[in-house]
Amino acid sequence: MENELIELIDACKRLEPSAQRAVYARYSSMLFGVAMRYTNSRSDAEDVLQEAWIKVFRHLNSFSENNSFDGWLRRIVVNTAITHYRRNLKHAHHIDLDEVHATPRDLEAFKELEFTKEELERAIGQLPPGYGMVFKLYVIDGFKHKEIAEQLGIDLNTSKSQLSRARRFLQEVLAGMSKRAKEIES
Amino acid sequence: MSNEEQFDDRVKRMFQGESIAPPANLEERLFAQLAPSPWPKRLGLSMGVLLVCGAGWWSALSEPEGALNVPSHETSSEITSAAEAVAQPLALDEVAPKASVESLETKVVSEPDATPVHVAIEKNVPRVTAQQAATESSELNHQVLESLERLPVESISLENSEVSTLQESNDDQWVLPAVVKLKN
Repeated sequence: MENELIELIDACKRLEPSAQRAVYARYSSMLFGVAMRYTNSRSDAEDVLQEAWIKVFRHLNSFSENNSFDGWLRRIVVNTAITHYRRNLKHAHHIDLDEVHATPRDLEAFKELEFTKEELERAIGQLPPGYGMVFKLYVIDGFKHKEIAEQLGIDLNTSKSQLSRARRFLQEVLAGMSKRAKEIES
Repeated sequence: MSNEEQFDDRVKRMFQGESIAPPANLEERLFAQLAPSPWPKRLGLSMGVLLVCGAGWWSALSEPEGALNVPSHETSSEITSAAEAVAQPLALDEVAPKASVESLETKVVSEPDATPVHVAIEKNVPRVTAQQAATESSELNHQVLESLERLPVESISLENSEVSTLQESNDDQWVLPAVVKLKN
């Protein structure tokens, strides 16, 4: 870890506001991107980010300089987003992916598929919330199934099966998007 | 690398380095929440609590009549005025050096042999903080209580055999059942 960052972190541990603002300025955009990915709206993402930063500054003493500071911050935002998700879960309508009629297809064909990040985000957004959480936690943020199961309060096998179904669903949706794009071009 | 892993890797790379600028007001909201409550507000609150406690304490002490139900003894009302003089600095952040009391004298009027009880209070009190003033006032309270305890209040012993004679006259002096009630 670079010396400048270590000094900033030490100053934050001493609760120096200027250092806290410097760390905020340095990482807030990256963390807001993470928060946006796990929430349904910008205002929810703002709430998650604010709550996460408060945790960061209050628990900074528990951060070890041997670890990645970026990774530590991202974990806090993701965990805060999960808490937010679980808090709102009881009000949400549960949808099982079987109801979405995802058709299993060989992922071999998927390798040739062209899609943009926006198309992928749109496809992920169509996933039922539980499946979307599992997919994002596992694929994008590198959580293990055991951690996902603990964090979301689900069974380990549920996490595995939801990930598998989510992949197939995304393949189907992205293939459909690609097909429509080609039709428009032609 | 399996097909699933390739797909996962492709998705992960798409989200790497993702950053979205948060709204500008979020920073102010956050640091306003992180900032500790302002010192004057906390000071005012604690001073208010001290003032209320002090006022309650002194109002309880400033009722000498009735507190000791002994008719032959009178307690000087100077206690009250001295108490007020000491309690006053609690309302201030810092106590002015003039807030000193020369001495507090408690007189026993009807007892000729009773010696006045002196409660000495520091002269020329230097500038002290409200906390010191509160400590001093509690010490003074203790001293005043001690002086009240030292007042020569004669107790009348009551024995079973004397119950019937208590109401009778003895020469020209009536002995009545003495009840000493202490408030607080």
